[in-house]
Amino acid sequence: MATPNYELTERISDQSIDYLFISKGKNDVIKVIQYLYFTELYGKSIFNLGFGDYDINEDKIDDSANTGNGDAYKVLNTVLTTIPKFFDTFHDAMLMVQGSDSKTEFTERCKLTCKKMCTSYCKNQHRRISVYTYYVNKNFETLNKEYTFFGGIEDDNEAIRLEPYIPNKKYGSVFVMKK
Amino acid sequence: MKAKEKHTEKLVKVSESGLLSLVADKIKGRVLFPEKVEDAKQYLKQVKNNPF
Repeated sequence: MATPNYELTERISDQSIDYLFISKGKNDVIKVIQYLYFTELYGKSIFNLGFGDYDINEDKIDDSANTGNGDAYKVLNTVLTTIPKFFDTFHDAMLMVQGSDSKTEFTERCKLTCKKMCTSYCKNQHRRISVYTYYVNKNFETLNKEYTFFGGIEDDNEAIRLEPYIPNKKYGSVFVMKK
Repeated sequence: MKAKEKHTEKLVKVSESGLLSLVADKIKGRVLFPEKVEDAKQYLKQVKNNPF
């Protein structure tokens, strides 16, 4: 059975690709995905994956909004369909994925409005990266044939260690490259 | 007495794909998630090993 996803509009530049689609529901929302080259790391061109809602009136992007259209699965599938397209254009790139809720200060900001009574850790932190890692974990055997994955872990001294991805291990960031 | 003139904005209909094309052209070449890119840069500065 085909996985449901939205129709995309694509714009390719020298160092980026933008994909746009409309999430349908109680409010139709323009969603934007951007793959953007931003640095080199150990000889690899690193691209950031950004994803958010486009506000047509304000001409602004919000990457922290929860649209509430009840189509999260379809939206995620649509985002995932862009990854092979991205590697078709930037074959040797390394894609970095990090959630906007993975920053340390997210917890403090979340506490201001959150109704959950979290004590030892914030249940909302890392939710976005978890959506991606859940998909990778579930499909690792298949994906691993075509892509190489790395996971980033922060230690107590705030140093980041990258390692070959181990399914179901908690990571603060995920890196993907085509084999 | 002169009748009061009323100006309304002219509305045009565009298809969804047309709308997306207009937006795509408008945002092309822009860094859409500058904060996230800055965070990613800072994050990578903390990377201490080469696993590639």
